[in-house]
Amino acid sequence: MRLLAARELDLLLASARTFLGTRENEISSFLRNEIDWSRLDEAASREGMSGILALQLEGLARSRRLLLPLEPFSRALRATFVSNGSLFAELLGLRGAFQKDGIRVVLLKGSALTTTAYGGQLGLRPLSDLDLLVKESELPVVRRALLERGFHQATSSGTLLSKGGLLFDLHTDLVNASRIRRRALAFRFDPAAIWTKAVALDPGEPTFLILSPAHQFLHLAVHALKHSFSRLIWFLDLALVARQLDWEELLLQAENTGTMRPVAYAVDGMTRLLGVRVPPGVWVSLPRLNSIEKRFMDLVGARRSIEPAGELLVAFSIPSLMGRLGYLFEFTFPRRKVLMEVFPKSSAVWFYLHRVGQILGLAVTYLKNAARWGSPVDMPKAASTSRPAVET
Amino acid sequence: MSNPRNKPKRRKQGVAVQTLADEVLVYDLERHRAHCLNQVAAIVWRHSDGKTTVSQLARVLREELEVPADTELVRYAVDRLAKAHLLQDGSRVGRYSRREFIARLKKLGLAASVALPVVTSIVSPTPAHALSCVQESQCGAAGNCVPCYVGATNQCGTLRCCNGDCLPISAAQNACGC
Repeated sequence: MRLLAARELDLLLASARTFLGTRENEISSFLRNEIDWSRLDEAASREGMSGILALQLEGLARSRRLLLPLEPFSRALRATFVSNGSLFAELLGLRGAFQKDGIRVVLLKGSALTTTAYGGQLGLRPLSDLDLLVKESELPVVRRALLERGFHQATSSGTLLSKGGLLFDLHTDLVNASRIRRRALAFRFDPAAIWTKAVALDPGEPTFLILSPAHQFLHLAVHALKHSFSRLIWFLDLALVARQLDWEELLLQAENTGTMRPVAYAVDGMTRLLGVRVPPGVWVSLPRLNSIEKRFMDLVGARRSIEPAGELLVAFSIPSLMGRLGYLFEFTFPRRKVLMEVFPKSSAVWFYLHRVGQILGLAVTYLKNAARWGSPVDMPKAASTSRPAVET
Repeated sequence: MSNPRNKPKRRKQGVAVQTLADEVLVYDLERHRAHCLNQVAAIVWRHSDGKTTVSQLARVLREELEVPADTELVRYAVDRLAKAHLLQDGSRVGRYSRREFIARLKKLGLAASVALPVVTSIVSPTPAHALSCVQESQCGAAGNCVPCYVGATNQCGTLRCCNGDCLPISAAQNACGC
């Protein structure tokens, strides 16, 4: 299923590129087309782009004195602002308890990016929860601090805690290997290196940390792959972090952690969708994508809904054949304990059948596409579908 | 020696700011409250650095918005901002009710031409309640809020836009929930 009609997709991409500064304000040219505003609103929300779009459209309406139906986008931005503000207010409320016990936590994904890459503008980047990386030994203390602030455990593992509509997700590793153990065969982050290279969010105050730019990029790429790059905002996240990257360091870390392929997907997507330029040497160092991966990225570029294809592609990052098969089996038939935690209301049999159906559906899609191999997937305007010539 | 009470200073700690084209959103991370500042209030707040006097703030308003702003307008804005705890303690430069202030403007014959500073507070953490930030709008010839279209939440005096109609505020609150 296609996530977006071409015009709405073009407009969303233009707003992302304008925000990034990779293109001059190109939104106005796309506004000349007839836009289905309610569809755009729905799509922007699904792609996590409502705040960015609202910011761009409001600016444009003001500078060019245009009458645009801004209300739904502005409402979404305000809702994100308040929701994120509530999460950060809770986080700040925890600081005292953490300081007392000498606890340090790393803010992950959106919680780190909102305060850094998005300049603290809380309305731009939606957070469904606040992700914190916690040392395994300190998990009970962190959990207790949250319980004392009125949170309660939302899952049996006790790593997801909620209070009203607010969710805190506690992680002890970057790849969620507790759910699919063999994921750790693919991506091998060294916990010591992560904590050593993490930097304080506020200089001189070590309670809240963020990952180093290289680790942050790798983590975002792995996370986005897990969800088949299904939200456009994740490419924007990656592109914003990429601005601070030392690419040599990134490639070194990617090699060490087994994340070269997710990096290749991320760079491919950023380039074709957002017009981000990377140093030519990066292309040479990244692995060449195989035909399945290329097709996957074509579909990502066309914003097709292809979950859980990304999870399956993780297998390409596992070195051994047995490891790959084991991973695919574990992904298709997760342990009952994991199912109880993630899908407590579904029966295991139903879930397994559903998962097999999903994979067969993807296989059919792939085979259908393979039958007319060579025919390009509809691509949005201004998107590039090939690597630059320097790759050879 | 200058009077520090004449130089409001905005809070920088414990607040998160979102700047938009026509307004500024401020989240008070200590009180769990979100505020929406219209252009006039936002300009006064942004320039309240503890060094700029009320009369200098009025000049900034005149230059940036090209409105006939005077120190009374700035004092009124500072009062609204202080009430919302967006200024540091001791920044309050006077106490005004909205009614008093509008009466004062009318007396000066400025009521129709001056954009009022508005600070709208939104109680969080109920995101659904934050979806609309009611704004003062221009008043049309018939005293209606304009522009008024489906989805707009602007108001003029005692009328508020709701589903494309200007209704009395209480009726709009019942019908549109804000």
